[in-house]
Amino acid sequence: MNLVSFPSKYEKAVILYSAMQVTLKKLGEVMDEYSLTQTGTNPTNFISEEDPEMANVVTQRGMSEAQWCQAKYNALKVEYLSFFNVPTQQQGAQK
Amino acid sequence: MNYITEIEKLVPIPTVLKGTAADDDVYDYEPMRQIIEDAGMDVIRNIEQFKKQDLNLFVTPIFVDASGTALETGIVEYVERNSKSCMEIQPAMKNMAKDSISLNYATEEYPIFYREHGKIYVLPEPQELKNTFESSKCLFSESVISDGTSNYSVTDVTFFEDSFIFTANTSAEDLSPKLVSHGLQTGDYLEIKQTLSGNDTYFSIPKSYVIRISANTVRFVGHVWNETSIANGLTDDLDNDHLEASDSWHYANTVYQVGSILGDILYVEGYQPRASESIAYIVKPPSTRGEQINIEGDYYNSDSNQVETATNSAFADSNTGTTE
Repeated sequence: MNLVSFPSKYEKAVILYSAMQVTLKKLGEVMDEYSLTQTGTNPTNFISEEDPEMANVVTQRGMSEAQWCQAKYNALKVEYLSFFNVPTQQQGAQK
Repeated sequence: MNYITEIEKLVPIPTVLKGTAADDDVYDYEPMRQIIEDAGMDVIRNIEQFKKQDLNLFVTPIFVDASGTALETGIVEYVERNSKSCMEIQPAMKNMAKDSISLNYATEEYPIFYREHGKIYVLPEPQELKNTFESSKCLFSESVISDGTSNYSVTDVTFFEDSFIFTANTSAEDLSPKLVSHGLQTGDYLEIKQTLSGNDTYFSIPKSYVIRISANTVRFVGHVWNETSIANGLTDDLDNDHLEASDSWHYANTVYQVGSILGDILYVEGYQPRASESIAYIVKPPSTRGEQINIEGDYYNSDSNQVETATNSAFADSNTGTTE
Protein backbone atom coordinates (compact mmCIF):
# COMPACT_ATOMS: atom_id res chain seq x y z
CA MET A 1 0.00 0.00 0.00
CA ASN A 2 1.19 3.40 -0.77
CA LEU A 3 -0.43 6.32 0.95
CA VAL A 4 2.47 8.62 0.42
CA SER A 5 0.45 10.80 -1.87
CA PHE A 6 -2.28 11.24 0.67
CA PRO A 7 -2.09 14.84 1.84
CA SER A 8 -0.20 15.00 5.11
CA LYS A 9 -2.87 17.31 6.41
CA TYR A 10 -5.24 14.39 6.52
CA GLU A 11 -2.93 11.52 7.34
CA LYS A 12 -3.93 11.76 10.98
CA ALA A 13 -7.56 11.47 9.97
CA VAL A 14 -6.81 8.27 8.10
CA ILE A 15 -5.10 6.91 11.18
CA LEU A 16 -7.97 7.88 13.45
CA TYR A 17 -10.53 6.27 11.23
CA SER A 18 -8.44 3.11 10.94
CA ALA A 19 -8.16 2.98 14.73
CA MET A 20 -11.93 3.32 14.95
CA GLN A 21 -12.38 0.34 12.69
CA VAL A 22 -9.89 -1.72 14.65
CA THR A 23 -11.68 -0.83 17.86
CA LEU A 24 -15.01 -1.79 16.40
CA LYS A 25 -13.63 -5.09 15.31
CA LYS A 26 -12.30 -5.71 18.77
CA LEU A 27 -15.63 -4.75 20.26
CA GLY A 28 -17.28 -7.39 18.15
CA GLU A 29 -14.79 -9.98 19.30
CA VAL A 30 -15.29 -9.01 22.91
CA MET A 31 -19.03 -9.23 22.60
CA ASP A 32 -18.73 -12.67 21.03
CA GLU A 33 -16.53 -13.81 23.85
CA TYR A 34 -18.86 -12.34 26.42
CA SER A 35 -21.84 -14.17 25.07
CA LEU A 36 -19.94 -17.42 25.14
CA THR A 37 -18.47 -17.20 28.60
CA GLN A 38 -20.84 -14.89 30.40
CA THR A 39 -17.84 -13.04 31.69
CA GLY A 40 -16.22 -9.95 30.44
CA THR A 41 -16.59 -7.70 33.38
CA ASN A 42 -12.84 -7.61 33.75
CA PRO A 43 -10.10 -6.94 31.29
CA THR A 44 -8.91 -10.14 29.72
CA ASN A 45 -6.31 -11.02 27.20
CA PHE A 46 -6.77 -8.25 24.71
CA ILE A 47 -6.12 -5.26 26.89
CA SER A 48 -4.06 -7.03 29.51
CA GLU A 49 -1.53 -8.35 27.08
CA GLU A 50 -1.44 -5.65 24.49
CA ASP A 51 -1.99 -2.60 26.56
CA PRO A 52 -1.23 -3.24 30.26
CA GLU A 53 -1.47 0.41 31.13
CA MET A 54 -4.94 0.63 29.70
CA ALA A 55 -5.82 -2.59 31.47
CA ASN A 56 -5.07 -0.89 34.76
CA VAL A 57 -7.30 2.00 33.82
CA VAL A 58 -10.05 -0.36 32.90
CA THR A 59 -9.68 -2.23 36.14
CA GLN A 60 -9.66 0.90 38.23
CA ARG A 61 -12.74 2.22 36.54
CA GLY A 62 -14.53 -1.06 36.71
CA MET A 63 -15.08 -1.10 32.99
CA SER A 64 -15.60 -4.15 30.93
CA GLU A 65 -13.60 -4.60 27.75
CA ALA A 66 -16.69 -3.86 25.76
CA GLN A 67 -17.20 -0.62 27.62
CA TRP A 68 -13.60 0.30 27.07
CA CYS A 69 -13.86 -0.38 23.36
CA GLN A 70 -17.04 1.65 23.11
CA ALA A 71 -15.53 4.54 25.03
CA LYS A 72 -12.38 4.42 22.94
CA TYR A 73 -14.39 4.36 19.75
CA ASN A 74 -16.43 7.35 20.81
CA ALA A 75 -13.33 9.30 21.70
CA LEU A 76 -11.68 8.49 18.39
CA LYS A 77 -14.81 9.44 16.50
CA VAL A 78 -15.02 12.83 18.14
CA GLU A 79 -11.40 13.52 17.26
CA TYR A 80 -11.88 12.20 13.74
CA LEU A 81 -14.90 14.35 13.02
CA SER A 82 -13.10 17.39 14.33
CA PHE A 83 -10.98 17.23 11.17
CA PHE A 84 -14.00 18.14 9.16
CA ASN A 85 -15.57 20.56 11.59
CA VAL A 86 -18.52 18.27 11.98
CA PRO A 87 -20.36 19.22 15.17
CA THR A 88 -20.84 16.31 17.51
CA GLN A 89 -24.04 15.80 19.44
CA GLN A 90 -22.29 16.88 22.59
CA GLN A 91 -21.10 20.10 21.03
CA GLY A 92 -24.53 20.68 19.56
CA ALA A 93 -26.15 20.32 22.97
CA GLN A 94 -23.73 22.84 24.46
CA LYS A 95 -24.76 25.35 21.88
CA MET B 1 4.94 7.56 8.20
CA ASN B 2 4.20 4.04 9.27
CA TYR B 3 0.46 3.84 9.48
CA ILE B 4 0.45 0.63 11.44
CA THR B 5 2.64 2.11 14.15
CA GLU B 6 0.55 5.24 14.35
CA ILE B 7 -2.66 3.27 14.60
CA GLU B 8 -1.13 1.06 17.23
CA LYS B 9 -0.37 4.09 19.33
CA LEU B 10 -4.07 4.81 19.49
CA VAL B 11 -5.40 1.34 19.94
CA PRO B 12 -3.87 -2.10 20.27
CA ILE B 13 -4.12 -3.91 17.01
CA PRO B 14 -5.22 -7.52 17.15
CA THR B 15 -2.60 -9.83 15.78
CA VAL B 16 -4.94 -11.06 13.11
CA LEU B 17 -4.96 -7.61 11.58
CA LYS B 18 -1.30 -6.94 11.96
CA GLY B 19 -0.04 -9.82 9.91
CA THR B 20 3.01 -11.83 10.77
CA ALA B 21 6.68 -11.11 11.00
CA ALA B 22 7.12 -12.89 7.73
CA ASP B 23 5.25 -10.18 5.94
CA ASP B 24 7.67 -7.89 4.23
CA ASP B 25 5.17 -5.12 4.17
CA VAL B 26 2.37 -5.14 6.65
CA TYR B 27 0.37 -2.90 4.38
CA ASP B 28 0.06 -5.78 2.01
CA TYR B 29 -1.73 -7.78 4.63
CA GLU B 30 -5.25 -7.71 3.41
CA PRO B 31 -7.36 -6.91 6.51
CA MET B 32 -5.21 -3.98 7.61
CA ARG B 33 -4.78 -2.71 4.10
CA GLN B 34 -8.50 -2.77 3.60
CA ILE B 35 -9.08 -0.84 6.79
CA ILE B 36 -6.63 1.87 5.81
CA GLU B 37 -8.10 2.05 2.33
CA ASP B 38 -11.55 2.42 3.79
CA ALA B 39 -10.21 5.16 6.01
CA GLY B 40 -8.86 7.04 3.02
CA MET B 41 -12.18 6.73 1.27
CA ASP B 42 -14.11 7.96 4.27
CA VAL B 43 -11.81 10.91 4.74
CA ILE B 44 -12.40 11.98 1.17
CA ARG B 45 -16.14 11.51 1.50
CA ASN B 46 -16.14 13.75 4.54
CA ILE B 47 -14.01 16.34 2.83
CA GLU B 48 -16.37 16.35 -0.09
CA GLN B 49 -19.27 16.93 2.23
CA PHE B 50 -17.84 19.23 4.84
CA LYS B 51 -14.64 20.78 3.52
CA LYS B 52 -14.96 21.17 -0.19
CA GLN B 53 -12.26 23.75 -0.21
CA ASP B 54 -9.78 20.94 0.43
CA LEU B 55 -11.08 18.67 -2.27
CA ASN B 56 -8.44 19.86 -4.69
CA LEU B 57 -5.84 18.08 -2.59
CA PHE B 58 -7.04 14.84 -4.09
CA VAL B 59 -7.35 15.80 -7.71
CA THR B 60 -5.79 13.53 -10.24
CA PRO B 61 -5.69 14.50 -13.89
CA ILE B 62 -7.13 12.21 -16.50
CA PHE B 63 -7.02 12.30 -20.26
CA VAL B 64 -10.16 12.50 -22.29
CA ASP B 65 -10.16 10.99 -25.72
CA ALA B 66 -12.47 11.47 -28.64
CA SER B 67 -14.76 8.65 -27.63
CA GLY B 68 -15.19 10.05 -24.15
CA THR B 69 -13.69 8.84 -20.92
CA ALA B 70 -15.47 7.13 -18.08
CA LEU B 71 -15.76 9.01 -14.84
CA GLU B 72 -14.94 7.13 -11.69
CA THR B 73 -16.24 9.58 -9.17
CA GLY B 74 -18.36 11.90 -11.24
CA ILE B 75 -16.58 14.85 -9.72
CA VAL B 76 -14.85 17.10 -12.18
CA GLU B 77 -12.72 19.92 -10.92
CA TYR B 78 -12.15 21.54 -14.25
CA VAL B 79 -11.49 20.64 -17.84
CA GLU B 80 -8.98 22.04 -20.27
CA ARG B 81 -8.41 21.52 -23.92
CA ASN B 82 -5.15 22.70 -25.32
CA SER B 83 -4.73 25.09 -22.40
CA LYS B 84 -8.19 26.50 -22.98
CA SER B 85 -10.75 26.16 -20.26
CA CYS B 86 -13.80 24.20 -21.23
CA MET B 87 -17.27 25.31 -20.29
CA GLU B 88 -19.71 22.63 -19.29
CA ILE B 89 -22.92 22.29 -21.25
CA GLN B 90 -25.93 20.09 -20.84
CA PRO B 91 -25.73 16.91 -22.89
CA ALA B 92 -28.89 17.94 -24.71
CA MET B 93 -26.85 20.75 -26.24
CA LYS B 94 -24.14 18.51 -27.62
CA ASN B 95 -25.45 18.43 -31.18
CA MET B 96 -25.55 22.20 -31.31
CA ALA B 97 -21.98 22.24 -30.10
CA LYS B 98 -21.06 20.03 -33.04
CA ASP B 99 -23.01 22.06 -35.58
CA SER B 100 -20.74 24.58 -37.26
CA ILE B 101 -23.61 26.90 -38.11
CA SER B 102 -24.89 26.98 -34.57
CA LEU B 103 -24.16 29.82 -32.21
CA ASN B 104 -23.27 27.15 -29.66
CA TYR B 105 -20.65 25.58 -31.87
CA ALA B 106 -17.61 24.54 -29.85
CA THR B 107 -14.35 25.89 -31.17
CA GLU B 108 -10.67 25.57 -30.39
CA GLU B 109 -10.84 28.88 -28.57
CA TYR B 110 -14.03 28.06 -26.72
CA PRO B 111 -14.14 24.34 -26.14
CA ILE B 112 -16.83 22.71 -24.09
CA PHE B 113 -17.37 19.51 -22.21
CA TYR B 114 -20.41 17.57 -21.19
CA ARG B 115 -21.23 14.47 -19.24
CA GLU B 116 -23.35 11.70 -20.54
CA HIS B 117 -23.91 8.12 -19.45
CA GLY B 118 -21.10 8.18 -16.94
CA LYS B 119 -18.56 9.56 -19.37
CA ILE B 120 -17.07 12.92 -20.04
CA TYR B 121 -16.74 14.31 -23.55
CA VAL B 122 -14.88 17.26 -24.91
CA LEU B 123 -15.70 19.26 -28.01
CA PRO B 124 -14.07 19.85 -30.39
CA GLU B 125 -13.10 16.22 -30.16
CA PRO B 126 -9.54 15.64 -28.99
CA GLN B 127 -7.18 14.35 -31.58
CA GLU B 128 -4.44 11.89 -31.05
CA LEU B 129 -1.20 13.27 -32.32
CA LYS B 130 2.38 12.35 -31.84
CA ASN B 131 4.45 13.35 -28.88
CA THR B 132 1.72 13.00 -26.37
CA PHE B 133 1.10 10.29 -23.88
CA GLU B 134 -1.93 9.20 -25.78
CA SER B 135 0.01 8.72 -28.95
CA SER B 136 2.15 6.19 -27.18
CA LYS B 137 -0.56 3.66 -27.48
CA CYS B 138 0.76 0.73 -29.33
CA LEU B 139 0.00 -2.75 -30.32
CA PHE B 140 2.33 -5.57 -29.72
CA SER B 141 1.83 -8.65 -31.76
CA GLU B 142 4.12 -11.57 -31.70
CA SER B 143 4.98 -14.31 -34.04
CA VAL B 144 5.71 -17.90 -33.20
CA ILE B 145 7.76 -18.84 -30.21
CA SER B 146 9.07 -22.34 -30.17
CA ASP B 147 8.28 -24.41 -27.16
CA GLY B 148 10.66 -25.09 -24.35
CA THR B 149 13.63 -23.22 -25.68
CA SER B 150 14.88 -19.72 -25.83
CA ASN B 151 14.23 -19.43 -29.54
CA TYR B 152 12.17 -16.34 -29.54
CA SER B 153 11.16 -14.40 -32.53
CA VAL B 154 9.40 -11.25 -31.58
CA THR B 155 8.27 -9.24 -34.52
CA ASP B 156 5.77 -6.73 -35.71
CA VAL B 157 5.59 -4.27 -32.92
CA THR B 158 3.61 -1.51 -34.44
CA PHE B 159 2.94 1.68 -32.64
CA PHE B 160 0.02 3.75 -33.59
CA GLU B 161 0.53 6.99 -35.40
CA ASP B 162 4.16 6.71 -36.34
CA SER B 163 4.28 3.06 -37.34
CA PHE B 164 7.18 2.34 -35.14
CA ILE B 165 8.29 -1.19 -35.78
CA PHE B 166 10.97 -3.23 -34.21
CA THR B 167 12.03 -6.79 -34.45
CA ALA B 168 13.73 -8.79 -31.82
CA ASN B 169 15.14 -12.22 -32.04
CA THR B 170 16.58 -12.74 -28.65
CA SER B 171 14.92 -13.66 -25.45
CA ALA B 172 16.62 -10.80 -23.70
CA GLU B 173 14.95 -8.19 -25.79
CA ASP B 174 14.18 -5.19 -23.71
CA LEU B 175 11.26 -3.09 -24.73
CA SER B 176 12.56 -0.13 -22.80
CA PRO B 177 14.16 1.79 -25.66
CA LYS B 178 11.07 1.33 -27.75
CA LEU B 179 8.82 2.79 -25.16
CA VAL B 180 11.24 5.43 -24.04
CA SER B 181 11.51 6.65 -27.59
CA HIS B 182 7.88 7.53 -27.32
CA GLY B 183 8.56 10.09 -24.74
CA LEU B 184 7.37 8.37 -21.61
CA GLN B 185 8.95 9.62 -18.51
CA THR B 186 9.77 8.55 -15.03
CA GLY B 187 6.70 8.04 -12.94
CA ASP B 188 4.35 7.37 -15.81
CA TYR B 189 2.22 4.33 -15.61
CA LEU B 190 1.39 2.06 -18.44
CA GLU B 191 -1.47 -0.29 -18.48
CA ILE B 192 -0.82 -3.44 -20.38
CA LYS B 193 -3.67 -5.42 -21.70
CA GLN B 194 -3.43 -8.73 -23.29
CA THR B 195 -6.01 -8.60 -25.97
CA LEU B 196 -5.52 -11.96 -27.56
CA SER B 197 -4.49 -15.13 -25.86
CA GLY B 198 -4.76 -17.50 -28.80
CA ASN B 199 -3.61 -20.97 -28.01
CA ASP B 200 -1.70 -19.93 -25.01
CA THR B 201 -2.70 -22.12 -22.15
CA TYR B 202 -0.08 -20.93 -19.72
CA PHE B 203 -0.69 -17.25 -19.58
CA SER B 204 -3.08 -17.29 -16.72
CA ILE B 205 -5.19 -14.50 -15.31
CA PRO B 206 -4.96 -11.67 -14.89
CA LYS B 207 -4.08 -10.85 -18.42
CA SER B 208 -3.38 -7.29 -17.74
CA TYR B 209 -0.52 -5.66 -15.98
CA VAL B 210 0.68 -2.32 -14.89
CA ILE B 211 4.19 -1.18 -15.41
CA ARG B 212 5.88 1.87 -14.17
CA ILE B 213 8.67 3.74 -15.73
CA SER B 214 11.69 4.15 -13.55
CA ALA B 215 14.62 6.39 -14.19
CA ASN B 216 15.87 6.05 -17.74
CA THR B 217 14.27 2.76 -18.39
CA VAL B 218 10.97 1.07 -18.71
CA ARG B 219 10.51 -2.05 -16.75
CA PHE B 220 7.69 -4.37 -16.31
CA VAL B 221 6.35 -4.77 -12.89
CA GLY B 222 6.18 -8.30 -11.80
CA HIS B 223 8.01 -11.51 -12.03
CA VAL B 224 9.10 -13.73 -14.80
CA TRP B 225 8.92 -17.42 -14.42
CA ASN B 226 9.98 -20.33 -16.47
CA GLU B 227 7.74 -23.14 -17.37
CA THR B 228 9.53 -25.66 -15.20
CA SER B 229 9.34 -23.37 -12.25
CA ILE B 230 5.63 -23.02 -12.62
CA ALA B 231 5.20 -26.74 -12.62
CA ASN B 232 7.32 -26.91 -9.49
CA GLY B 233 5.50 -24.25 -7.63
CA LEU B 234 6.38 -20.92 -9.12
CA THR B 235 9.99 -20.58 -8.19
CA ASP B 236 11.45 -17.33 -9.28
CA ASP B 237 13.67 -17.85 -12.26
CA LEU B 238 15.12 -14.41 -12.35
CA ASP B 239 18.75 -13.64 -12.12
CA ASN B 240 19.15 -10.32 -10.41
CA ASP B 241 15.68 -9.42 -11.51
CA HIS B 242 16.77 -9.33 -15.09
CA LEU B 243 15.46 -11.28 -17.95
CA GLU B 244 18.32 -13.20 -19.43
CA ALA B 245 18.85 -15.40 -22.37
CA SER B 246 19.39 -18.35 -20.09
CA ASP B 247 15.87 -18.06 -18.80
CA SER B 248 13.57 -20.12 -20.89
CA TRP B 249 9.90 -19.45 -21.29
CA HIS B 250 9.72 -15.97 -20.08
CA TYR B 251 6.46 -14.41 -19.41
CA ALA B 252 4.98 -12.26 -16.76
CA ASN B 253 2.96 -14.13 -14.27
CA THR B 254 0.26 -12.84 -12.02
CA VAL B 255 1.56 -9.63 -10.69
CA TYR B 256 -0.31 -6.44 -10.51
CA GLN B 257 -3.73 -6.18 -11.93
CA VAL B 258 -4.79 -3.02 -13.55
CA GLY B 259 -5.98 -0.77 -10.83
CA SER B 260 -3.70 -2.33 -8.29
CA ILE B 261 -2.13 -0.10 -5.77
CA LEU B 262 1.40 0.58 -6.79
CA GLY B 263 3.77 1.16 -4.01
CA ASP B 264 7.34 0.07 -3.79
CA ILE B 265 7.71 -1.86 -6.94
CA LEU B 266 10.07 -4.59 -7.88
CA TYR B 267 10.97 -4.16 -11.44
CA VAL B 268 11.47 -6.80 -14.00
CA GLU B 269 13.14 -5.78 -17.14
CA GLY B 270 11.68 -6.87 -20.38
CA TYR B 271 8.77 -9.03 -21.20
CA GLN B 272 8.28 -11.78 -23.66
CA PRO B 273 4.67 -12.72 -24.21
CA ARG B 274 3.79 -16.15 -25.38
CA ALA B 275 2.77 -17.08 -28.84
CA SER B 276 -0.29 -15.55 -30.41
CA GLU B 277 -0.54 -12.80 -27.89
CA SER B 278 -1.14 -9.16 -28.40
CA ILE B 279 -0.84 -6.52 -25.81
CA ALA B 280 -1.55 -2.86 -25.92
CA TYR B 281 0.19 -0.24 -23.87
CA ILE B 282 -2.11 2.42 -22.70
CA VAL B 283 -0.90 5.38 -20.82
CA LYS B 284 -2.62 6.18 -17.59
CA PRO B 285 -2.04 9.11 -15.33
CA PRO B 286 -0.09 8.43 -12.15
CA SER B 287 -2.30 7.12 -9.46
CA THR B 288 -1.04 5.50 -6.33
CA ARG B 289 -4.41 4.52 -5.07
CA GLY B 290 -6.09 3.20 -8.13
CA GLU B 291 -9.20 4.84 -9.34
CA GLN B 292 -11.19 4.77 -6.20
CA ILE B 293 -10.15 8.04 -4.70
CA ASN B 294 -9.38 9.87 -7.86
CA ILE B 295 -11.24 12.94 -8.74
CA GLU B 296 -11.24 13.60 -12.40
CA GLY B 297 -9.83 16.89 -13.37
CA ASP B 298 -7.42 18.12 -15.96
CA TYR B 299 -7.91 17.44 -19.56
CA TYR B 300 -4.89 17.14 -21.73
CA ASN B 301 -5.39 16.91 -25.40
CA SER B 302 -2.99 15.98 -28.10
CA ASP B 303 -1.72 19.49 -28.55
CA SER B 304 -0.79 19.93 -24.95
CA ASN B 305 2.60 21.53 -24.73
CA GLN B 306 2.92 20.58 -21.14
CA VAL B 307 3.14 16.92 -21.89
CA GLU B 308 5.24 17.20 -24.97
CA THR B 309 7.85 19.43 -23.46
CA ALA B 310 8.28 17.33 -20.37
CA THR B 311 8.72 14.08 -22.19
CA ASN B 312 11.08 15.32 -24.81
CA SER B 313 13.34 16.99 -22.37
CA ALA B 314 13.41 14.00 -20.10
CA PHE B 315 14.45 11.57 -22.74
CA ALA B 316 16.14 13.67 -25.32
CA ASP B 317 18.99 11.21 -25.66
CA SER B 318 17.48 8.09 -24.24
CA ASN B 319 16.79 6.26 -27.42
CA THR B 320 19.70 4.03 -26.80
CA GLY B 321 17.69 2.36 -24.11
CA THR B 322 19.85 3.05 -21.13
CA THR B 323 19.15 0.67 -18.34
CA GLU B 324 19.86 0.90 -14.70
